[in-house]
Amino acid sequence: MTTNDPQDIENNLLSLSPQPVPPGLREKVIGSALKTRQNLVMTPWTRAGAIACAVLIAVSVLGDMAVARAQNDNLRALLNGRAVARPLAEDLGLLLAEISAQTSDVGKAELKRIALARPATRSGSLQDVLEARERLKGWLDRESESPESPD
Amino acid sequence: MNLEDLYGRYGENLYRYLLFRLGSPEDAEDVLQETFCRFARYAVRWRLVRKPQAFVFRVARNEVNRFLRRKLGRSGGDPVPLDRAFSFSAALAAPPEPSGLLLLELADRLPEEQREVIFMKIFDGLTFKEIGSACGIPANTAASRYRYALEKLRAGLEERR
Repeated sequence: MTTNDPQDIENNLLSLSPQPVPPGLREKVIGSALKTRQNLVMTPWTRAGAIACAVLIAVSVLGDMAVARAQNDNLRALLNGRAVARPLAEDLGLLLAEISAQTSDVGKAELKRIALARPATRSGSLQDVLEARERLKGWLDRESESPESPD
Repeated sequence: MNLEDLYGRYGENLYRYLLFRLGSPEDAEDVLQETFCRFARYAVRWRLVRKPQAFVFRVARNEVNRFLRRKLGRSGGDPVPLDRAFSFSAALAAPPEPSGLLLLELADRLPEEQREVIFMKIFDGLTFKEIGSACGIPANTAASRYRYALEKLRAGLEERR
């Protein structure tokens, strides 16, 4: 050591030799790392797959909600702002009760068939409600034109 | 980069750094194993790592902290004896000449954060930027710690003359 220049100090430090690495350390370290990798429940690919599935599910749920809301808005607009699902079902129930009191046996059977189609409306299928209503209207028209009508 | 390549590039440097940090060959081996297990678990995408050397040292540093926390937990809150932590003399072979011994002794008296920067810079060849990334400090701070450490070593050597 001749001077105390920072460069000399660096060189002198560099001249100090490091402790030797214990023999077999490489095999030990790599072996345990490989064992860890084998024991992984979620490999990188399965993890990526799980994340992709979660994203897909979330997107489909959100998409379904958005589509349902858009359809609801469309129907509400078609029905002049009336709320769609519940009032229609209620209307239908009242109508069926009233008509069944003053109709023939054949008519009652037909009404029963229409009424059985009603539970589908509870699951929120507005299409079913509208179809049931149309069928009921058609049946009422037929009833009013037929000679067996009570009136 | 697979695990063998990773070990080939950084394994021995990491071992020496861990020996310097912990002062015990057994602890250094344990933490090195844990560090590589972590690399294996996370299947690091090395193409996306901008400074691999700084990254591996940072991971090793975090593992040291976890190891020390565990050790502290096992000791039931009592102080863990870490007499040889941050010790140059634990990581370096004793030099034959007295001037080398003196330098080692002076280096071991530096503040810990300065010792760490000196070790990473001189023995692991990290740049100040990489040291900054590994230690979570700005590169300028790493550079100034290095400068202060060399200045202290120089002053110590002058004093002993």
